[in-house]
Amino acid sequence: MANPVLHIKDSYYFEVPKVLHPWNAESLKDFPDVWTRLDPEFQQWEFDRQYEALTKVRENGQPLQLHPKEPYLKSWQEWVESDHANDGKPFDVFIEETLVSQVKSWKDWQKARLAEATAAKDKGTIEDISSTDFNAFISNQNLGVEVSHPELIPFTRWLHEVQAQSAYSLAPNEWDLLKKEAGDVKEYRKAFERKEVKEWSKEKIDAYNYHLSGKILIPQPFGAELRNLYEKEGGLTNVAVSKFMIVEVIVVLILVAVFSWLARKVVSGGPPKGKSWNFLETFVVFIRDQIAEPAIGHHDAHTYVPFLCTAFFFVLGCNLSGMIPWIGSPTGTFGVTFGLAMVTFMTVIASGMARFGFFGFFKNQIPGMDLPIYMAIFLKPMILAIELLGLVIKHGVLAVRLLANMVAGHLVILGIMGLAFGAHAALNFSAPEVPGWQWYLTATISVLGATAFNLLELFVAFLQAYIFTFLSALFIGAAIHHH
Amino acid sequence: MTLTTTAIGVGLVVIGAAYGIGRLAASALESMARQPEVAGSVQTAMIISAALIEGFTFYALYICSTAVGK
Repeated sequence: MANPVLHIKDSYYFEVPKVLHPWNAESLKDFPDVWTRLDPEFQQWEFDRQYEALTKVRENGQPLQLHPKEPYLKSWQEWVESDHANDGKPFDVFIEETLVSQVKSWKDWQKARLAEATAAKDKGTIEDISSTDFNAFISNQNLGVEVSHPELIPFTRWLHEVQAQSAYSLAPNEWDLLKKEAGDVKEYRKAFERKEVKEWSKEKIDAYNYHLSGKILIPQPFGAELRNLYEKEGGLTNVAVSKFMIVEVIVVLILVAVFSWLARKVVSGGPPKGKSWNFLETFVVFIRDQIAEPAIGHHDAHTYVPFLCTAFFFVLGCNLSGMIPWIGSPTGTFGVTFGLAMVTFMTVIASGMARFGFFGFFKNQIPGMDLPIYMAIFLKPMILAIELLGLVIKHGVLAVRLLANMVAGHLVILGIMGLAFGAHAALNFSAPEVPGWQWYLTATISVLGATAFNLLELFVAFLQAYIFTFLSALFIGAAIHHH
Repeated sequence: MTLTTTAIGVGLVVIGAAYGIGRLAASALESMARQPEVAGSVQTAMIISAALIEGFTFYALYICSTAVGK
């Protein structure tokens, strides 16, 4: 919803104004792989190839009992049109999702019948039902259970077998190889050159050019598969580079450059002179004197000041990049904030264990109470459990607080900007010629409101960086001091 | 129906958060008036507490608007 305008979510392209990076493709060969894969004509070509490959597979030595391709094509297209979430999903995803829902029906049926049979204490039926595997369930027509898309049963039965056999191996199984072979975009382009595939219509190419202009796609490492411009295919070996990753690296490089300059100035001795030096020193001294020393204590603060400075400036840099148009803030995604909270969590645990030892850290979580032994045995484990849960929750909330503040602020700005768009749409509906005074008034209010909220967002960026650092310092202090 | 539920949820969250932060600000202002020399540290503590409260407020708002709307 919010992506195209405010870049709140991560993406695999950088956006700039359309005029700066126009896309002038002439034919279907010029479009990137990820874009071609979502095109309906390509998916039709892919479906034909997948169907042919599926007629050649062997299940227990027999070919699958398949109809000619029309009913499968029809049911796939009906499925795509039925739900907005199914847009752009190719035929193989249709088969995989149908398999998932059929397996679920099987499990539900098994559970329900087992519950009945246990209640009736019918040992024979219990045996029967527990031993009904997926194949038997799916092939049996008169069980009285509604399964979704029963026409796909030959495919799902074979796919279930293939997946069960390759469940513990890392190599791609028969189905993965089939998908890769059928959906190869390079083959599609070669088929186009051999004139087996028709050129796309001019309107479609123009529309695609319009949608793609302004988007600079990020070059991916070899082997990375993207499902669309916002998501990548699942799988642990599928490593793709996204926009926020690049923004974080740029923030880090800026920090390294700036602070190595500062460190050289500090090493050379003498009081700070000049605006930038004083500006940076103000921040660093603030972190040392107002955040680290009150929370951690004068004796140990110097060990943790580098970590706190890094956390503060990295979070600040990432938050501020959300103020730049078309870039968006990496801390608006759960992955980044969770990673930062994990770093704090690891620091807390490591410093606590370094100070007190492995078990001493847990003992330190329990406050010292003078309890008689019979109450201590009862209460102290409970208190330990609650304290450990509290530890995990406190750090998790660090992540959520930062994420929610960044996302919510940008969503509010989107809402205010939406006022102008909404007024435009409403006026277009009633009087399409000339925008009336209502639109000018709404647009003025929208621009002024958005400006005010952007200033608030600037304040929130600094505040959230400060809060994150301060709470990290507090947690570290609590871990290394006696309770 | 879900839109009404969402709206009521959001309203309740806002009531809770605004009441909490309002009371916080009231007591902070009172203590700043009583003892002007600690106004700096009172202000710092007020900002920190407000940010903590807003943290889970936004989380609750996010859950109201997205998770319920399905």
